Amino acid sequence: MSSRYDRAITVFSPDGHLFQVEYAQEAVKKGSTAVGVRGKDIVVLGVEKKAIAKLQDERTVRKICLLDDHVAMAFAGLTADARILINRARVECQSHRLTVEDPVTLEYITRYIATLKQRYTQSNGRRPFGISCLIVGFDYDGTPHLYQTDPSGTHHEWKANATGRSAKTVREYLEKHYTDEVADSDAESIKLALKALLEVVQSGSKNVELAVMRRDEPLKMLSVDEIEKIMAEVEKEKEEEAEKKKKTKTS
Amino acid sequence: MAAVLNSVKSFGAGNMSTAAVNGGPDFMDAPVTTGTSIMAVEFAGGVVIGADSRTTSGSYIANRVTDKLTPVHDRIFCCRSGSAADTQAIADIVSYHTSFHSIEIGEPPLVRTAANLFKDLCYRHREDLTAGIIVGGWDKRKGGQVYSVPLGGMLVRQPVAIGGSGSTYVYGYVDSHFKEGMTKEECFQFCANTLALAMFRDGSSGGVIRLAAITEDGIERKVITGDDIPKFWEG
Repeated sequence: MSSRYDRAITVFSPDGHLFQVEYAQEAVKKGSTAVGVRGKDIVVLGVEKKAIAKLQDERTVRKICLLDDHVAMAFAGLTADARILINRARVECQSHRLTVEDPVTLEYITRYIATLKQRYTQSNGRRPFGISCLIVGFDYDGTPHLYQTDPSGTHHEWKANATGRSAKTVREYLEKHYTDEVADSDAESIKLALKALLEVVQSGSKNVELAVMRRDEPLKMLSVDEIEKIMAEVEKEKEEEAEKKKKTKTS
Repeated sequence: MAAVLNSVKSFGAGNMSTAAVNGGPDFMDAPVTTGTSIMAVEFAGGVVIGADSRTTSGSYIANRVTDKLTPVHDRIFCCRSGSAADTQAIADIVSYHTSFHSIEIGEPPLVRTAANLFKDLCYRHREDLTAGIIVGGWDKRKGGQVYSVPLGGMLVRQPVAIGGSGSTYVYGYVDSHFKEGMTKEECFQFCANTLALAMFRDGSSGGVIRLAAITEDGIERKVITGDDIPKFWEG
């Protein structure tokens, strides 16, 4: 029955589904994982780096992008679709600055991207964008935000979230370990994002890409060395936990 | 040269008749212009740009502390002369394009790129605009650069550029006192002297001297007011 109702996406199925949108969400679930954490003074984005071919230049595969000086986003899903959305969002960020003489708020640009996505779920001959975005940054008044959008065009604000492959596992980890204390500390927020990502990604600094943005500072991609340092800390903490557990068990 | 002389003519010419026609003071109908003296100088490590601070509407000074040194990106400034509205609008649009371009390429834009954006706008709309712009900035590739975009929309890079109605009075001073390889402080002094002379002789230039040095490390702004403005023979 479903095959008769997913040709043109403007058509509802008898039981109220928009199948093209749901298929787009499936495409997102196939993409590499992306995680976002909102701290008090910092926002963190992490993405899984898929293993690339030997001859391929690593630097050309970028899944964390700047939309404006104070807004960054990571995505999961069809990279080519993302490029289009990112370009439109970047133009809108500058256009907003020119007409209103203020930088965009996170809510505004998220709403713009979500509206764009929704439009593609309600037009002839066009398919939805196959990506879910995690948009982070600081508003002009200094408040940090993390938003998520999905192919249907809905958007919500989150304290921490993940999207892409195994997003559910990562989100459960975040739900268990995100606390206000973690959010208050820059270092802990970064560690949380990395630890959450490591739940589903092979351990190794080559397989993750981390970016942080602090208030009034530009986006900073962490170098391989910096990621290794944080990973070493995480490993040490894990060992100490294991040691403690062993001691309590034996005593 | 001819382009600059034109700017002097257009400010004075049309205004005489309007007062009679409208029965009101001439400044009510006169366009708001940055009558102006502006300049920019390249030195090793960056550029020094400078301007006066007078905005006139006919003979009324609408703003005596104008800032004609406008940033279009972190290390790229423009000096504005001609119609205040035209140059503000152009600078806003170029700022939009350089910000977008810089995010797109992931690094600060080249000074030459910003200068070309000015040139594209000024040339395409040459019939509708009155804008004489000097672009000065620093980039990683070529260091400090000065580009001149006068009235018709020409683009040329020069080690030192002067513009605005006041510039006509200081060509001789600039030609005789500019030398390559000046330090930042020498450039500040050279600009201050040049602008002081231009402001002294040009009625459309005056107020304070605004200077800025643009280098890899950032922007250093200076204001020279009142008695600190260099004095020469005053007759």
